[in-house]
Amino acid sequence: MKSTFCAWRGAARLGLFAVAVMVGVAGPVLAHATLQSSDPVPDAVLAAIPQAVRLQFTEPVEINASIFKVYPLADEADSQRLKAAASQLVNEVLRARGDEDRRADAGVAADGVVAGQVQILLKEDLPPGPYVVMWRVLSIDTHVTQGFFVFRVEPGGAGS
Amino acid sequence: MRRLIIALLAVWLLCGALGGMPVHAHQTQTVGPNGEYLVIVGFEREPIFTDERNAVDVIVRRAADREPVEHLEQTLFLELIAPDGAARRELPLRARHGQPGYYTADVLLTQPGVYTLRVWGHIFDVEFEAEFHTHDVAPLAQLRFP
Repeated sequence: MKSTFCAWRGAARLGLFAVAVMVGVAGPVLAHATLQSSDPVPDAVLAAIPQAVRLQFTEPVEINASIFKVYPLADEADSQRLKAAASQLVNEVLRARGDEDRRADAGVAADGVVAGQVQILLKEDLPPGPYVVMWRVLSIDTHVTQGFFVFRVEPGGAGS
Repeated sequence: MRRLIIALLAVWLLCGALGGMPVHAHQTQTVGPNGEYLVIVGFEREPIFTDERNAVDVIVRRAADREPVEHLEQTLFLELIAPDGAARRELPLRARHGQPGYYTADVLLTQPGVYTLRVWGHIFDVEFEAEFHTHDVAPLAQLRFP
């Protein structure tokens, strides 16, 4: 009888240990890589064109399996119409190849092939106006997420 | 002959059961000056009951080929109007992960009755506004047993 009780107690301890190990190994639930912050921020109005756009994601992303682009937009005063034009452009060009000439970016810089922070380098002598930053990233949890935002360059403007 | 009668009876019962069910499907409206896009609105869980977490789904497709339209989360807007007409709230739409053309907003309805959903914004160069209505949302207590 005593040996049966000991066996049950041992099994219970083992079970508790297994649960503790599983909880410990699982850790926090991995979320998809979404944009955490950026410089410039979405809808920013800058006095001068920046050298690069910095994107910080909530999870590291596979740089070589991800797409980052910056495109110039036709000027439009209405912010909703501008975003609508940006969304249309994103649909058309995000996955396009051989579009380097049309783009405002000159490639990507990141620390390693997996990184949470990405710099999209911009070409020199870009004209003022609105730009759209777009991405389609593969995060290390194997999920693909995508998004875009708009910023505007207005020399002598508000600057933010 | 007996088998035939039983089969016909089964078909009749099935048709009756399906025919008697209330319609809880998503609703579709065509928008754009030339009917370029389909805007489909519904709830994640239908039929809808109060006091359970649910979500409004807004689905956008090209009318010509039914292809989903992506990247609209910044230009689509949704307002939910309660059955009493007094309470209304704009719900933030987000793109649903892994389902292109799906935009969603979480919500928990607390009042039984028919809700109005107003969807507006831009689908690229098309500006639109559309209104939808839910079926009669029932109180969750209706399901309690015993």
